[in-house]
Amino acid sequence: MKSFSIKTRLMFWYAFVMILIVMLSVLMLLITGDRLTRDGAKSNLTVTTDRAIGDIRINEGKLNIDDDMVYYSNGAYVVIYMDDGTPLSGLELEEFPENVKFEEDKIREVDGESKSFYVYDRLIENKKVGKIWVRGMASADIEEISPAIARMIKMFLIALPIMLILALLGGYFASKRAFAPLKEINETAQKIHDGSDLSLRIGIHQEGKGDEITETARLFDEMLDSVEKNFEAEKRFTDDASHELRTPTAVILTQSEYALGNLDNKAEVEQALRIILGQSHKMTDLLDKLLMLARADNGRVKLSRDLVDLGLVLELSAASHEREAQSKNIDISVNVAREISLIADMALIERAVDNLLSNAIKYGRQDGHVSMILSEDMAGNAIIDVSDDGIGIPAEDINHIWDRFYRANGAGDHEGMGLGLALTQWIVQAHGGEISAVSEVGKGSTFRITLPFKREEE
Amino acid sequence: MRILVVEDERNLNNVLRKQLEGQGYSVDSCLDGKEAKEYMEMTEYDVIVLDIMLPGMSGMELLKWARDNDLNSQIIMLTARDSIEDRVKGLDQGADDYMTKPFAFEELLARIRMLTRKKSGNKTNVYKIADLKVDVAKMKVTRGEKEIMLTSREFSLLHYMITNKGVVLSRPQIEEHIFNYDYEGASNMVDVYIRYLRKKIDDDFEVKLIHTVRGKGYVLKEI
Repeated sequence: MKSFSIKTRLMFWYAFVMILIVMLSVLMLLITGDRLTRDGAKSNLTVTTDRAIGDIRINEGKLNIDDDMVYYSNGAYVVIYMDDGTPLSGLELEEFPENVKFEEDKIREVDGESKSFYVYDRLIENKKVGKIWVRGMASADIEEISPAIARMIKMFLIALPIMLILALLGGYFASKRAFAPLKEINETAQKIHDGSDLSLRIGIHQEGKGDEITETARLFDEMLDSVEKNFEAEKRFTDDASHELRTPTAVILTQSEYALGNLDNKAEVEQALRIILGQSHKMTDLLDKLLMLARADNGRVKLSRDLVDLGLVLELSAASHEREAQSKNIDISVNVAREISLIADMALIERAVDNLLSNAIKYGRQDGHVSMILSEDMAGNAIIDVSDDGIGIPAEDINHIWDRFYRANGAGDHEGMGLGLALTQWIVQAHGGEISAVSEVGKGSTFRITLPFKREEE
Repeated sequence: MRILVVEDERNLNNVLRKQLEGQGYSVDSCLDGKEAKEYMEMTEYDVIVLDIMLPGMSGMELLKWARDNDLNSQIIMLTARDSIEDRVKGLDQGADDYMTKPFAFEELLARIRMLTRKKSGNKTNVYKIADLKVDVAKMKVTRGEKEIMLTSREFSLLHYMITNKGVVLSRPQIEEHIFNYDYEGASNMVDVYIRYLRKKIDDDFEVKLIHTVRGKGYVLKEI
């Protein structure tokens, strides 16, 4: 089935409805006019006939017709007949068919050869004279009754195609105008498709018109904004991920080559192996986090729900980072102000706390102090604070630390933020909580996890 | 040939340096952009292996600085990123070559040889003068039919001289190109190595190739 564009369909509908309305109104006008004219002609016929009857008298058995008898009036002709159809007097109407039967007091329409007629008969009965018929006749042809109406019909028939064309043109221009913005939308979409330039915009909403299509265009532009932004973020992420994965791969590759080329030098080989092992651990960790985040993005991580003792989590985390902390002579203190247990995914919560603690040690000051505090706020949320007294985070970077692979500008640290904080943020949010950071350069940072919980009924 | 390796991943930096030194290059290396700039200001390196993502000053900034200051070093950019924009931008700003991590060390070597060759106008890895042939890929030197064994430092000196054949090279110039900053030798080390080299490639042959230009330095040429 061939489908027409909305524009074409709209144009035809418009023309169709227009023509229908015009035709209906003209038709009503004509029918009414026709009826009125015909009714006038009919009443003229009866009046003329009846008046003629008034002029017929029967005196002493003889039919007496007045001299001033009117046989014609306004298109109505009157003829007086004997009962056998012999005309006695009067004016016959041309082309009126012969042998039309008489019928008393009834207006009928009879067909002649080329046109039709109205006929009206009246009977005069007299014992002496017998039956006398007075017949009134008039043309039933509208052209004869009312040439004006006939002309109107003709004109209308001539005007109809012209009106049709006008209606089509009107429909065409109206729909073209209405759909002009749509064309721009299509062109922009086509351009974006052809050149994959996501920075293009339709932009017609800036012209200030507030119609529906302009609104659609505006929404499209907004959508393109966010698509472009997501696309850029995605690209940056892939770029960063590839950097983070390629660098250790490069080290592993070159170290392996070097070790193979120096097999007799046991010390060199051993060192190369240690480096390869370290880089492999780094990659494993990164891949693990990447996969975790990818699963989280797809909503495929299912939280297991157990009763988790947060105080215990902090203690465990502190214990497992002891050696790391000792290497920088950092002292870790755990302060559980209130025992809190909540329903959560133990492994994930541990991971979140571990990430924060490991960052605190990594960015902490040599011989410094890291503290972990568990408390409860007024709203009944569990609060975990992890604070260090290390290098801190510059104000311009603090909003970006949650971004994947965010790298502070000009920071001497190659590693960047990696994925740890992005992952931690996701874990906290998956538990319905919040995470925030306050920091001052040179003084240290405090990361706060806020987790909602219902206190176990005691 | 003197090479600067600028790479902030310490493990990669170390191994590149060791590998290049094993190939007879004299290598300096540094871990960040600012330090690299200082090295580049002090020495005209034949080749610089430059990572793009560096702390302090990015590889791209360094590249721009080098080209703005008409440094003649051949620069090979290293990147771990995927995006083609980096590559285009790097080459546009005057990088001579571009490599994506991870790469095989052999490939890096091949590119370094290609770049030094390009600079000297030689079309293959084999440099010739009279009947002396120096194959820099195989580190093989022959004169006539006789193969000559050189130490890596001697080879490095010969490599430098043969890529600049016919050009008079001053002692400081030679020193700069064959010794890195870690080398602590006597001040007349260039003369010492020239003497070693002469012994091996000139002494047994009629046509001498290494000539002393009084007051200026040394030149490798026929006649």
